[in-house]
Parts: sequence; structure tokens; C-alpha cells
Amino acid sequence: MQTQPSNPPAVRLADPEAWVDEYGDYLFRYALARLRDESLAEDMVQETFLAALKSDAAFAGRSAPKSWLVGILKNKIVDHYRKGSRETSFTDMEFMADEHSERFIPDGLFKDGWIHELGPLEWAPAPGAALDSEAFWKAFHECSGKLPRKVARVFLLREVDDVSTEEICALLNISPNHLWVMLHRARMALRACLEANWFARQEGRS
Amino acid sequence: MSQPGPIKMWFITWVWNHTPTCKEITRLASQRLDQPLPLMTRLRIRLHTTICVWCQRYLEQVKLVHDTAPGYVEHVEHASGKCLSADAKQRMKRALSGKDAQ
Repeated sequence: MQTQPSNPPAVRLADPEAWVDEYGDYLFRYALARLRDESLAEDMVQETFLAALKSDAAFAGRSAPKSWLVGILKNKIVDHYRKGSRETSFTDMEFMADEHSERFIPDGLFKDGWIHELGPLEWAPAPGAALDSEAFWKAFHECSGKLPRKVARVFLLREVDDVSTEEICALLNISPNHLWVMLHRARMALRACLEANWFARQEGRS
Repeated sequence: MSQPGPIKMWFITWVWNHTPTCKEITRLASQRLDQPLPLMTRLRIRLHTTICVWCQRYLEQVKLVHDTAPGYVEHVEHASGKCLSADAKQRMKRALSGKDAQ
């Protein structure tokens, strides 16, 4: 298939100030979802613009300034994680201690099996359609926002940014085992939250 | 739902006793997204899902979320209502034009 020559980017390099209006809010939202701190997110966005300006030669010929900018921002955030990865907050520990045990049979022959009424619901008939919608991403945004800070950080790096587990361990200075437990809990919590807030609601349960 | 007959019940119990528990399956469901699991473990998971629709759903759903999640980079723009303040935007523009002049 022949591709059309791409249009010149709406916002050109000659006018970096226009980047702020065009991409500022997007980058801010991206940063905020990962940092949960508005002033820190602002700083990161500003640093991103400045770094972009400095290396605008690297930009030449690109038709998607947005993904170029978000790539710079992503690296800035990862650097920030690297600098301060020691703290584990109380909510993290509380969350990690909760194994969703109440969903499993506590004893007897089928100990640690799902309690049927609390087991995962069917997401059919058309989960594919649901996953594309704006409402799904709102639910995803809210649910991942409910994860404890450090768990969310690990979850977003792994699931959204597709960073390998080895890299995450090195980056945040945590053991593979700790990482697996965090990812397991995060995925479990996110699945349950999405089910409660989006998939189940869709079927008319509210 | 009717009570399963004796043969079916025997099968369910046998499979249950020879495969990981549901709780264990949830852990494996996560682990298999990060690294390949040994063949025997994969077979045990598969066998378990023949008697357990909940684990079958769980395995599918966490995988679905895993496969879909990268789209969040694009969609965060619409999922969040947060905006940079006018002040912050002004500050950034000043910083950018300052650098420009150098």
C-alpha cells in the first residue's frame, strides 16, 4: 500500500511555545498518573519540553511529536523513580498483606478454591468492544489510581510501558520475588476493580 | 444448577487433588505473563480449568488486561480531566522562549 506523504506537523519546531498548548495537558496527565503529585508532574513536563528543545535536531523528520515527547517524559519519570526508590509506604504494606482471601474457601476439601458467588464473572459477550471504549479507559484510570503508589508504579511500568521484570527490579532496587508478589496483587486488584466498575455495570448491575 | 453425578464428582475431586488450588492459579496467572512457565505447570493449569470456570475466566481476564494496558498511554488523555494551570503554562512558555534566545 502506498502511503501518503505525511502532512507537516501542526505544531512546528519553530514555535516551541505552541507545544505547551498542544501537548501540555496530555503530558501532564501522563505524568500525573505515574507520579501522583501535581507540582512534580508539572516540573517533569517542563523538563521534557526543555530537553525536547535542546535536542530538536533529533526531532527533524518525525511526524509524531506527541510520541516523541511522551518518550522523553517517560525517561524522565524513570530517572525520578531510580533516584528515590527506597520508601515503602504503609498503604503499600497493607495492600500487600491483603490476599483477597475472602474470595476463597477457607477450609475443607476445596480449601483455597473460589467461593462460587465471589469468583470472576463472565466478561462476555463482547469484551473486545468494551475494551475500546472511553468508559473502559476511565475505569482503568480510576482503578489503577486506587492502587498504592509503589504498586501502581510497578504495574504501569510492566503492563503499560512493557518494561521487563529484570529492568524493573534493577530500576527500583527490589528482588524478583517482591516484584512478582506486587504484580500478582496489582493484577488481582485491578481485575476485580474493573469487573466491579465497568464490566458488571455494563450488564446493568450497578 | 444441578448437583453433579457420582462419576463427575469423582473426576472433579481427582482433578482438584492433582492440580494447583485456585489461589495458586491466580499467582500463576500473573507469573505466566512475565516468564514462560514449565510445561508441567502449564498442563496442570489447563487441567484445572476443565473443572473450574472461575479460574478459566481469571486467566483470560488478567491476560486481556495485560494485552490491552499499553493503550493507556494514548487514552490517559481522555480518561483524566486534569489540566495544567494557566500559570504553569505561562511559566513553561517563558522557560522555553528563554532557552530559545540563548
